[in-house]
Amino acid sequence: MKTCAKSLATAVLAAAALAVPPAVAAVESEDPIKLTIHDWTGQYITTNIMGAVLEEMGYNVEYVQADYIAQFAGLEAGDLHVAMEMWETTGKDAMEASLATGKTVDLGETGMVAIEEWWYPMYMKEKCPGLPDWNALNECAEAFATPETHPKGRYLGGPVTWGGYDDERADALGLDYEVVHAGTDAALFAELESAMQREAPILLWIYTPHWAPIKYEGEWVDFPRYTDECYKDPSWGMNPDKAYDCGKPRGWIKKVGWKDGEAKWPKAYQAVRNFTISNQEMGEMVGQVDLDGRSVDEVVADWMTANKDRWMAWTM
Amino acid sequence: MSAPASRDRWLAAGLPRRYAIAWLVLLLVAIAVHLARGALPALATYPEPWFLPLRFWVSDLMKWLVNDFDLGLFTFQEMTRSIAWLLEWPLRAAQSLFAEGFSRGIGRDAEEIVPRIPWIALIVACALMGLSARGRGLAALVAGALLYLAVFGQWDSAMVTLASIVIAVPLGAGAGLLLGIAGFRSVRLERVLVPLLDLMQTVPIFAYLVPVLFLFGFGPVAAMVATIIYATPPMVRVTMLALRQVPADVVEFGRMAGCSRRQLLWKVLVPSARPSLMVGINQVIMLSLNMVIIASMIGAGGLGYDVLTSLKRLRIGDGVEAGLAITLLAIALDRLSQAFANRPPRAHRDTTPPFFRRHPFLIAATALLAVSWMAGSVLPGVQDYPETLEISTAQMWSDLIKWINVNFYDHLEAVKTWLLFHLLIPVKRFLTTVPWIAVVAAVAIAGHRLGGWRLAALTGSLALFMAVTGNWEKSMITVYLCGVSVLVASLIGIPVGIWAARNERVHRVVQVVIDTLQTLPSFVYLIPVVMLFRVGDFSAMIAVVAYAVAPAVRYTAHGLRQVPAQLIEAATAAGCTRRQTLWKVQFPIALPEIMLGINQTIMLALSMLVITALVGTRDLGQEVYIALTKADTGRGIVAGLCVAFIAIISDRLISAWVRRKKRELGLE
Amino acid sequence: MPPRRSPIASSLLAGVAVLALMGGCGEEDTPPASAGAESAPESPAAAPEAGGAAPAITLEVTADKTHAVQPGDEIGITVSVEGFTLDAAGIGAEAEPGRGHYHVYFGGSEGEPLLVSADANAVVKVSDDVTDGTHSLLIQLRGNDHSPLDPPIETKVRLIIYRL
Repeated sequence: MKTCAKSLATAVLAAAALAVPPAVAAVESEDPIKLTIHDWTGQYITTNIMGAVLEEMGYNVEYVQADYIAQFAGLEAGDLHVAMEMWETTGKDAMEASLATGKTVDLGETGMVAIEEWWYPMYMKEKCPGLPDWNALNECAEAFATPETHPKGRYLGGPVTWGGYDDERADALGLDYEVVHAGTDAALFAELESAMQREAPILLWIYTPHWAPIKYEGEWVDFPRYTDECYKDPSWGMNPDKAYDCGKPRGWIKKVGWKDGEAKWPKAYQAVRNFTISNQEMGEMVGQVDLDGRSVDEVVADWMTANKDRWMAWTM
Repeated sequence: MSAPASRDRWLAAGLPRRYAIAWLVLLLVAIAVHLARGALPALATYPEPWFLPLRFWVSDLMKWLVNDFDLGLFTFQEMTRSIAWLLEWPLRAAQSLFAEGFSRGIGRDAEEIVPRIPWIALIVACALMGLSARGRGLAALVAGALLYLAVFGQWDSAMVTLASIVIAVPLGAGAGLLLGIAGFRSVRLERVLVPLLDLMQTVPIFAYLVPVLFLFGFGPVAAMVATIIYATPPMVRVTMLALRQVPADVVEFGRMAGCSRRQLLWKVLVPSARPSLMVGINQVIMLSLNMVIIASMIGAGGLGYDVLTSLKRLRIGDGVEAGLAITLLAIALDRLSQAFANRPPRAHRDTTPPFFRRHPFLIAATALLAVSWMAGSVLPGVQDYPETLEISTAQMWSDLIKWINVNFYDHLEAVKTWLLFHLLIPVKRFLTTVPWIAVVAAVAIAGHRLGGWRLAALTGSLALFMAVTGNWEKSMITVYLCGVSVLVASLIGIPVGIWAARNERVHRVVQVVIDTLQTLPSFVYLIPVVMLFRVGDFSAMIAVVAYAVAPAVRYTAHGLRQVPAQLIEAATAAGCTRRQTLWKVQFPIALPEIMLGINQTIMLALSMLVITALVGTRDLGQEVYIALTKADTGRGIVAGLCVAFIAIISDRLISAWVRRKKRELGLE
Repeated sequence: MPPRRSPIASSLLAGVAVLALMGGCGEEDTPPASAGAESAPESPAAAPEAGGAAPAITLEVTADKTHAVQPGDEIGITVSVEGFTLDAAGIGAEAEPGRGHYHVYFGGSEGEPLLVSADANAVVKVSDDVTDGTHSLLIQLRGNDHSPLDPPIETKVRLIIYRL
C-alpha cells in the first residue's frame, strides 16, 4: 500500500537498519516491482534470481502468481510488471499480440534455448531399430499403439493451448499416429512416469529445460529440420501440398514487461534486460529442485553466491 | 375445483397414448434425417454459417465494461478496483494474524512487530472452541486435525488458506444473508434471483475467472472474490427457504407483541431460522474449501498451490499430504460450525452471573493466547513447530502408486478397454451423430410431458442455444461424459445407499468415506488416475464418478430412512419379507428422494467438468479452460453458459418428474 | 448436580504444561544438514569383499557440461574414488586388487569406450554423430587388466544433447 506513512517508516527504518551494500544506489521508486510466477520450476528459479538481484539493488519486489497467457492482461494494465519467461514455441502469438497494443515492451532474450520434440524412451529403440529417424515411426506404429488407437500408434502431445501443430505434422508427414492432447503438463508427465515405471511404450512431447529429460534416458525423433518456410509454404518439404512437414523450431525464451515501468524503475528494467542464463545452469538448478528435492531458495542463494561478479555487472 | 380436476383426469387418460405417438414420430423423423444426411445436412449438423457469434459480443461487452464503462464520477473498473482495495485490508490483517505476523515496512526493510499466532495457542484455542460447542469428542477432532497440519509440515500453507477462508466465509455468508432477506421480502426480486443463482452455481468457475481478474486485479483478492461468488448462492437459497419456513404462529406472535418490521426480521425471524441458516453457512465453508485449488491458480497461494505444484512435479506423496490437509481443515471447520449451530439454548437464570463465569472458554482462550505469544518470543518451539520434528509419509504414497502401477496396470487396462468398447465409445458415437434437431425436439417433448408448455419452451430454447452458438458437438460430448459417469455413480451409489440404510455401522463408515471423497481435492487423485489409466475419457469418468457418487449414496440412504414407519409396519403386518418390504414399499416411496440424489449427482458431475479438462477431454470443460488460458472472456462465458444450461435442463426435468411422482404417491 | 470444575483453571494448567514441554523441546532452526555429494548421481557402494577387510568403494563423477551438449563437444569430467587407487601406470598391467583405472562409455558398456584413463580430471569428446536426446555417459571402474570389478562399480552422468 502506497501510503505516505509507510514510505516514511520505510525510510526511517532503512536509515537505522542493517548495513546496506555500498554498491546499491538510491532507487527511483519504493513501489514494489511485481514479477509474475507460474507453476513450473524453471520459471520459478529464473524469477527468483531476478528478484534477488533487484532486491540487492535496493528495490522492493513482489512475486504474483499468474497464468502464463492470461498474465498479458495484467502486464498491459500495469497490475503486473515483469514476466521472465515467454517461450517462443508456446507464447509467441500472445506475446506479439500484446506488444502490438503498445502497453508492453520486449525486454530481450534470457539466453536459454527451448527445445521440444517428439520423444521416446531408450528401451523403445530395441523394439524399433530404425529410430530416431522419423521414417521408422510408421513401421513401428503398432509398437506405440494402445487398444483405443490400434492399429495406429499413439502420440501424446501437450495441451491444446501450447500449439505445436502436431495434428498438422502427423497429417503432412503421413504418420499413422493418433495425436492425443493432455489437458495439462501434469497429465503429460504422469503418463511418462507411469510408462517408465513399467518400461511400456510411449511417444510424447518432451521439452528442455525441464526435469523430465534429466530424469529419463531417451531420444528425440529426428524430423526434417525446421525452417520458417516449412510452416508457411506448403510446397516446401517432402509433402508438396501441405505445410508443417518438419520438426518443431528451436525457440527463444524472452522477458516481457509493462511499458510504463521502464520510466518508473529505469535501472531495474536495465538489469532485467541484462539478465542472461544458460541452459546448462538452468538445467542443473531444475534438476536439483525437482529431482533432488532441494528448496528453490537454497538453489537461488547458491547461484547468487557463485555468480556475484556476473550479476553485479547487470546492475551497472 | 371439480371442473379442472375432471379435465385433468380426462387429459391424463389420453396422455400416455398421445406421448407415445409423439415419441414414435420423433424417432422416425430422427432416423429419416440421419439417413438423409447428405441431402439435408442442416438438420443433422448445425451449419456453421448460421452460428451466432455470441462469444465475440460477450468479449466486446467485457472489454467495454472493463475499459470504457463510465458511471459518471468514476469508471466501472475503478469501482471494482476500489472494492478490491477495501477487501485487501481485512485479508492482509487475517494473513498477518495467522500466517505472516505483523511487520512494518515493505520488502527487505520489513521489521516484524508482532509474530503470528503460535501454533500451540491456535490448536488449544480451537480445541476449547470445540469443547464449548459440543464436548470432548469435537475438541479432540479439531485438535487432531490442526496437529496433523503442524506435524506434517503443512502449517504455513494451511494458515494462508485459513486466513482467506476466515475472511471469505463471513463476507459470503453475510452477503448471502442480506440477499436472501431481500429476496424473501420482495417476490419480484426473488424471481430475478433464482435463475441468477442457478447460473452462479452451474457456470464453471473458470468461465468467470478471467473477468474477475480483469476487474479486481491479479492477486489473493481476486481469488477471494471468485471464491465468494462460488460459495454464496447456497446461503441465499437457504436464507429464503428458512425465513419462509418459520412457523406462522411465531410471526403472528411477533406482530402481536408489537414489533416493527426491522425488529420482526432481526429479533424473531432470523433467530428462529438459525438452524437452517447455519446449514447455509456450513455449505459456504465447504464450497470455499472446494475452491481452494482453483483459487490458487490465480494467486491465492496456500494449500491449493502446494497441491498443484507437487502434482505437477509428480511428487504424488506431497500432493496427497497437502490434499489431506485441505480435507481435515474442511471437516474440522464443518463439524465446528455445525456444533455451534446445534448448541442447545442456554438456560435462563434469575441473576446474571459475572462476565467471566458466563464465558469461561473465551477467557481461557484469550489468556492462553496472551501467555503463549509472550512465551513464543522467548521459546522458538512455541512459536513455530520445530522443523526437525516434522514427519512425512510422502514416499509411502508414491511407492504405493508405483506398486499398483507396476503390478496391476494390465488388469486395470483390460477392465478399461472392455468398458470403453462396450459402453463409452458407443454412447459417444450415438450422441455425436444423432441429428441436433431430434435432440432439441426430444428435450422439448419431455418438458411438455412433465411441466406443460412453459417447461417445454424453457428446455427447448436452452438446448437450441447450444446449437446456435456452435458448441453442439462439445455439448454432446459433455452430455455423454456426464451421463455415463452418473450412470456408473448411480450403479455404485444406490446399492451402497441401500446397504447403509439398513445397517447403522455401515452408515457411519460410509459417511466418513463420502465426506473424504467430497472434500479431498479431485486433482489429488486425478494424477494417479492418469498414471493408471492414461489421458482420455476413461480417466475423466473415474474422477467424476469418485466425486459424484456421494449424493447418490446420501440421498438413497436418507430417502429409505425417511419412509414413514407406519408404512413399513403395515407392510410387515401384511406379511412382507424384508426384501419385499424394501423393493415393493420402501424403494418406490423413496424414489423421488433418490431421484433428487441423481439430480445432485448430475450437478456435481457437471461441476467436475473443468477439472477433467485438465486431464484431456474435448468437451465444454476444455473450451472453458482454453478460454481461461487465452484470456478470451466471451468464449469462456458462452461455453460456461452451455454447461449451466445442461444442468438447468436436467434439473428442471427431474424436479418436475419428482413433483409429479410425489403427488401421485400422496406424499405432498 | 456435582459442581463443575472450572474450565478456566484446567485449560490454563494444560496450556502452561504444554508450553513448558514445548519450550524444553523446541530448538532454534538448525541449519539444514549440509548436502552430501554434489550433482553427480549416487553410485552403488561395493559390498566388502567376502572374507576380506576391504573398505567399500565409492565412485563419484561430475561433468562441466551436461545440457545443450552439441555433437563433437568436449566435456570435462572430474572423477573421485574412495577405497580404490587410480593408477595410470598400471593400465594394461596385471590385475591387482584395489588398483585400476576407469572406462568412459556413451550409453551402455558394450562397444568401444570413449576414454580409458586414470586421471582425476579428464576430457571426453562426444562423437559427431550422436542423436538428439537424453543420453548418459557411463563411467566404470576397471582393474589394471581392463576387467570389470566384481560387483561392478559404475556411475552415470546424464547428457542432454540436441543440435542447435
